[in-house]
Amino acid sequence: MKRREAMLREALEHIAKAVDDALHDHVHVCGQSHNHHHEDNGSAAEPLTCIPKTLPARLLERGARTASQINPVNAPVMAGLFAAQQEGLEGQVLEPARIAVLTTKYWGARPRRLTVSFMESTPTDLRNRILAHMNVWTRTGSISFVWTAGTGEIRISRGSGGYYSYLGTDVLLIPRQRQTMNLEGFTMSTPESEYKRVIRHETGHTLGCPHEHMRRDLVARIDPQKAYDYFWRTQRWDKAMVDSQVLTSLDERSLMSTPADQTSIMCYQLPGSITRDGRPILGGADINATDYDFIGRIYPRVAPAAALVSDGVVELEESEAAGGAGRSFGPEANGVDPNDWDPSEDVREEYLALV
Amino acid sequence: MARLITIEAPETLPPRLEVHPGDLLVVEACGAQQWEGEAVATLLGVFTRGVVGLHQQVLTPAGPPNAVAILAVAPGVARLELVTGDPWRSVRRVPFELIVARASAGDPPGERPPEARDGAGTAG
Repeated sequence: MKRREAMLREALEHIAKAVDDALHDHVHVCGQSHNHHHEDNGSAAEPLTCIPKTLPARLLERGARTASQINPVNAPVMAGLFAAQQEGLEGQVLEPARIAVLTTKYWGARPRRLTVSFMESTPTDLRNRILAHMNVWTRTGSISFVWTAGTGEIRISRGSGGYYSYLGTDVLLIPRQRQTMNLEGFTMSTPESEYKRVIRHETGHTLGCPHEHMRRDLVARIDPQKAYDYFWRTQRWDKAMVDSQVLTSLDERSLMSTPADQTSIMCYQLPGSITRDGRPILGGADINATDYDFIGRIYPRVAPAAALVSDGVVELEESEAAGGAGRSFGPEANGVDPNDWDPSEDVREEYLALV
Repeated sequence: MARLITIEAPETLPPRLEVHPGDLLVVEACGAQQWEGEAVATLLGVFTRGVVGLHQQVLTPAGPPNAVAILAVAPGVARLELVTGDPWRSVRRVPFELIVARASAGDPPGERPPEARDGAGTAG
């Protein structure tokens, strides 16, 4: 505890020094440094404006990690920033087309009610039962589902095709005559355990959650050759299908996430015969505490004021997603990044652990 | 005339299904096996259905594959098995024989081979 206090004290001293320097040399307002020398009459030579500043390029990834730790919702946008770096886009203004790549399937933080309809004639008791299981996610989350006699944003079929759902806001792109979720063969006779395992899982996809078994840590447990052999032998899935269904780990940077969780409702069960250690990946049978906590964090019941939502689609302000009008990432053309400072002044990693 | 034959419920398949060379079967299933008759029918593969979204790009849902395509190639018998259900938890296996036979003169017009149609091959 003493070490922690000492680190905090040292951090505060750094901050105090920075503030002192700023007050004596120039005034910082909202990250904008104005060479605004004090005048005797106290009047400003120019109006103060607020222009958000970016971190220097070398700190973008670290900044993204910190932002994601504080709130997972920060992850996707920040991911785009350092993805741009890795793709050699430093120093370039991201074009609007690039914004589409950065856009996630996240519904946004504003509480929302999605309408649900059924493709086939569905008895009231069955309809209510399915909706009740979908709405279990509202125990912590702010997205709820309500039946409509018209064409819903979520369209459920109980016909052939297995179990599936489109991911998050992708459902808004599906032609209105097609289902967005398939629950093959669900009736009132289907066991309650299957309602929990399947409908809650598919609703998780509708909320934007991908498969948990495709998280890097879990994929690393699978022996690729065993997986290819197993799925070819049992289902004739070719290599590409196995890669797609089981072996392609999600880009962690694109996720708002908790650590990989093999008992998450979003994790499929995989047999021990295809893992390196011979132990199965358990898979989830119901929403667990971590799932609830996570959904409560990304879809909080009280929305942050910053959420920008329109017509069911998350929007980034163009200037924000592109990093600000005309703003560039990384070093400036002259090789000097005006946002940068001496690395010795960087906040040390240990302080970030205190966040 | 080759036909596209879609089968939505594999459980309703008869144990023996007769088709013609060139016919393409698309079955709602998450997997398949072929035990015999690879020269008779080709198991083209297991697919995940996709749709063209309103943004003019192909979207695929999160979920296991849900379509199997089989092409009838030449007369004979192929033994296959369709896999349905949830591939991660419990599957059902539906075996069936695919009888591939040339259309005969008794078949409805359009299903007969050209040489068997009325008048076919007789014009000078």
